[in-house]
Amino acid sequence: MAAANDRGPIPILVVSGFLGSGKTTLLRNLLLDPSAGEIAVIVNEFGEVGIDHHLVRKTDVRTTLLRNGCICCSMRDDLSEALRHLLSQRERGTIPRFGRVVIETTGLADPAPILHTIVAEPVVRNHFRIERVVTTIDAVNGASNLDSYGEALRQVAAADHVIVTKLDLATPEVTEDLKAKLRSINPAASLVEASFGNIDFRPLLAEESQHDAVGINRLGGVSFAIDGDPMAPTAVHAMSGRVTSRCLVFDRPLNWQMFGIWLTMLLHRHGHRVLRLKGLLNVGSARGPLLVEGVQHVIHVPRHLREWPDADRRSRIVFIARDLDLAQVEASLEAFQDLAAAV
Amino acid sequence: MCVLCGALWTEQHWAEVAADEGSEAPDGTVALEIHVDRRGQRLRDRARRAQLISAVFAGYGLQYQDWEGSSYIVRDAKGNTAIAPDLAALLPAAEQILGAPLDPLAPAFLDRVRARTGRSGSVIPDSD
Repeated sequence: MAAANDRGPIPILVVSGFLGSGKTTLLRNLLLDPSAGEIAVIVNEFGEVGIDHHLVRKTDVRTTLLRNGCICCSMRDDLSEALRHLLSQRERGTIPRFGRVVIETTGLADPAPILHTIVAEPVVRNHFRIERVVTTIDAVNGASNLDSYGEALRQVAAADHVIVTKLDLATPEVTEDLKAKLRSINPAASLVEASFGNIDFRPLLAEESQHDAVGINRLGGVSFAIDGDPMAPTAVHAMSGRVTSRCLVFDRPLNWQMFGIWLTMLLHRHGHRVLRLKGLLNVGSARGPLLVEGVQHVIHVPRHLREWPDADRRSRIVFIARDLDLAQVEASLEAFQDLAAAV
Repeated sequence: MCVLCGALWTEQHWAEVAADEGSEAPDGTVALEIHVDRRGQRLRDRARRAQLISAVFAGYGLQYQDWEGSSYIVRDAKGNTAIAPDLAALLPAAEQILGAPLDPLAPAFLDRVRARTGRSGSVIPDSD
């Protein structure tokens, strides 16, 4: 595999969040943060005035602007072209050798097609990798946005980190209610608080290597879900449907090949309802667990972590789904695993 | 195309990556010895995967065959046949022959799967 970065594929930080949730403020502060290093930015213009674009340009000239509306559907070719163009400039030395790309999506974007472009486009996937998905949510309007807009829900479900912004404008009660809602929608994500766009960026920028157990940090949320009642499902009702999350736990090692067949079939048929899945699998390997992550139809290439995050060796998979019976999902996976053991 | 194996592929499906497979070098390159060793393992994995897919598809009355380690062939009892390059393309091809969706959550299908494992009385956990 060709690799563009001295240390492997270039990490991409995807910044998502609903309209007015503080994405650009966050991005602006990130670019000013000395720990951020060299960053190339791709922003998406939506609406008549590209205000977002101008704000970002002041701090970073290596900005690629995607035109003609929403990044989520019609612009995927543009996104891959923008990434290829950045790579070409970087290799030719016409721009500094950036160590990270940040993609700021539109407030109405579903992150899944963006992630799909990065993991599926032949050139892009060999030079870039998804580092994290960060979603901002407004403490004042976040709860109502989650109730009213499917896009806001999908953005939270896809996130590795959810940043609650504008805390200075919301009462503590409203903020706590929102955080409880966020935890029930996406128990696998970590919650970060921000006032005036000021947050500690270190967790968002921490090194995460394929060969190091540092990646386990991302699964803190999964451990949290396990520490509580692992079988306690949560449900949130929204206009876009009933969103449930559930952590499936399996005591026995899973047959990886049958898991792959099963999940491929599940996502083929019900992928549009599986907002997010994230799990640590015990596949009977002497090495650490297998990390599986996906957003809707998009599955990242599974990676072996060097070691388990704790003494628990059970497989754990957090599913966040819309209008899907996760008890049925669990029963189906059990049946497929039984079949693998029998043939 | 892999210049060492002569194998031609457009995209590797995520489920066809071996569970213990990972790049040995930080830049993603793989030593020749490891590559050759993996190739043997990949073929063994593929044969096992074929066995498992056959078992699953039997629940739909479909037959499945791995062709030369490079394609999947699926056919029904009437002889309708389709060829697919990878797991992702196999499912639409199988659905076209079947004339119905392949739903791994369908109770009737799961009953047929459980019947093959002698667990036809499996209880579905409480609904959310």
